[in-house]
Amino acid sequence: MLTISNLKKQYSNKNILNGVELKIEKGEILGFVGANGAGKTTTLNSITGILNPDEGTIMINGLTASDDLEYKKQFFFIPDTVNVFKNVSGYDWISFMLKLYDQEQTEKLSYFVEQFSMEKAIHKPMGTYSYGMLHKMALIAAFTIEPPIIIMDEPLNGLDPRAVMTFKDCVKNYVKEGGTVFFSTHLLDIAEKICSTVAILKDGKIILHEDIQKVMGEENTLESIFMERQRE
Amino acid sequence: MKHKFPLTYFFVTSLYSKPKQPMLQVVLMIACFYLFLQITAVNIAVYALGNLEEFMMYNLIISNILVFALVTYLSISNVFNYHEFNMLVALPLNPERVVAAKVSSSLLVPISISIMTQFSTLIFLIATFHFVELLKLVLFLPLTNLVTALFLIYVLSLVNRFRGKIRSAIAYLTINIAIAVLLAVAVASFIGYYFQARFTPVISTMDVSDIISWKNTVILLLSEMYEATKDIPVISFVVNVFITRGHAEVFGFVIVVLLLISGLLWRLTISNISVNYLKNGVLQMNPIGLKKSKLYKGKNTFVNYLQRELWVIQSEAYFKLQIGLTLLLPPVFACILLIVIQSDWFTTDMIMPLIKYFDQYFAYSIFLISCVNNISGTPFSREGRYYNLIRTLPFSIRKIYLIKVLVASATSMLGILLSYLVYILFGNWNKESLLMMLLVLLLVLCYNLLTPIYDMKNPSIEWENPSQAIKSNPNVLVSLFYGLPIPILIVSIHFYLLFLGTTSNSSIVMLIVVMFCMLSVLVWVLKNYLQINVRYTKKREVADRDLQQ
Repeated sequence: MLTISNLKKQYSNKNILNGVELKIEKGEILGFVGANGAGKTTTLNSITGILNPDEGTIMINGLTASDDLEYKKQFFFIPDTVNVFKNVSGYDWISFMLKLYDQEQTEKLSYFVEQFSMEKAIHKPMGTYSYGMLHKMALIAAFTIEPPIIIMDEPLNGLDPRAVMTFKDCVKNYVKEGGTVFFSTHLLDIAEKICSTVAILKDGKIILHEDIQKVMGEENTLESIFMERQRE
Repeated sequence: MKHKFPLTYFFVTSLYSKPKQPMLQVVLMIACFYLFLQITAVNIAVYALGNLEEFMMYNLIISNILVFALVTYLSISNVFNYHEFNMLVALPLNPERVVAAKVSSSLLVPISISIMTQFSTLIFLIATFHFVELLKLVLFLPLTNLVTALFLIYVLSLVNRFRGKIRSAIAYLTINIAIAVLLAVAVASFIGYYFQARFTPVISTMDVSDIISWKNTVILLLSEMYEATKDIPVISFVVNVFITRGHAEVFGFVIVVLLLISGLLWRLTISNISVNYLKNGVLQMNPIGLKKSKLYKGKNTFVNYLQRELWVIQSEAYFKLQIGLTLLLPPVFACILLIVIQSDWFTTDMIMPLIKYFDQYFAYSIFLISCVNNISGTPFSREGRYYNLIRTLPFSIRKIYLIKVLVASATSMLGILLSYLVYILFGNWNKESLLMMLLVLLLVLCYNLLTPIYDMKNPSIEWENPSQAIKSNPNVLVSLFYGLPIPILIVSIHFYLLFLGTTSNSSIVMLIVVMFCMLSVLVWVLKNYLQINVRYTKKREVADRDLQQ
């Protein structure tokens, strides 16, 4: 599904990514964790085309960035700060997204709008949305479009407890239907409950990529594993 | 805190920050140097042709015109904007302090620029041992600049008191610009009234047949301008005190009066703006009143790209205003030009060459005016925080580029067509005009095809104030630098052909054919260039820079 090989990136002669190697299989829910400045956002931005890596290859379903539109249609990206046109309503924005991804509008949109309790706001300009509402709107777009892989940078930021529950359910259903999820987070307890696999990034390198149950065993928590790995 | 006036420092550095890219810094430096060189050259000419009084008066007038123009632009985009509102509203600052800092920053920058342009004048006065004049210049000029700037901001602050009644941001911007322009026209008309009596006979006898005559004409104009100033009430008194020696007490008195006027204007301005600062800030920054943009139905991919571009333009009132200006500037200019020509302000001898090739002059000046409001030079910077959407969503950079060219061209072309409508209404239509119109439309297309290239590679997307994306963006200068040579070449070839004796119609037809060929080549080159750019996208530096910032 998504293969990252030897991904390297430097800023002002400082190595941010030191040869990231990662392979995500179809149906995987990968929680991408790491300390602040470990390179999580740089990795996600490199995959989605916001950033240009110095070295390495990224492939999604056999396509690389040079395949341009086809490559971009393989994923939907939700950044940590959702930037949308403030004059456009959430409904129009998602309808527009569906057109971009060559999809017809179905009842799915109304379903997810209801799930995320956005019925009242969806027809209002997005400039009136709160931070959390913008994230909800981006999640509705992602689950409605159903691309092969959904990539998210801190998707749970600003979400209310009900929306977090809905998020968990939607992710599980989406994966059941053949989707793949790759998201970065600092909320390890939630990652523990949703993710099928976990990848820990430290100093620009993946130091662990394993099945979450296998990593934790019976006694550990993701938090204890993470802290232990950080100390090494 | 390191600075004595931290808020003013904050506004000066955040609102007038220099560009981050080294290339743009160089361009800005070249532009400033060019401006300085030009002012110095004119200064030398005036110094050489006129006497000391005329020279001093010229500097007084030119520096105040410069300050007026700069304050018009800076105050509208900064003082009466509320981009800092969300950041500062929660801090323990009263509105008066914030407003005072904003106004100070909008006074400091233009007056500093005006003082810098007077550097050559100071050198002349020192070199010729005119120390009294030097002292007067140093004391008096910044003070008149201050009064000019404060007067304009004060007038605009009166409108700001009623900001709450004007719901639309674009309407408020337009009113501000209209008032600044009307004020300039009113002052010009007032002065023009006194100048007219002296200038009409001078203009009617003007001889510009050779360099000596040119020189004599300029000398005569300078002298008449100086004499005419003496007829204007109040201004004549102020100018007289400034340029003549031996009025030390009166000079001191005028300085005190100007200081008092400045103080009064300052207080009134601050009170006018700060009284509704919170209300106006909330109105501008609060998204409740946002007008919803439409979603156009249509399955064509082209519609999606056009839709996105429209949303970008609709995202800021300032962008809509720029589009409006591109549409309106050429016809307004056409109207003024045709009225001037048809009102016989100039003698037939003076405008004979202009009349002979009037179709050509008209068409090229309309083209130039259309390029002045260069919206095609910064279409990627305009994206701002939406820029990353182009990169992460399934958009083709080629189609984005094409749409940007089409939107800019359609706007410019409409402006040109409206100008020709004015041209027809003034009874100037013939086959040659039609051909010239076609040629200019092709030139506009060619210009708009080229100008977004640099901005695509180096967009300045880190802006807070939309004016930084367009007018204060040095990418505009870069795009003019490489966008104008082709039109200049075409115009030069045209006049050379006419000089060689080629008939007007055939020269235009030849150039239209040349333009078609050139456009075909350009489209082909750009198509391939953008294709390469897509493949090369992984190595582009711009994203790295953005992320670092």
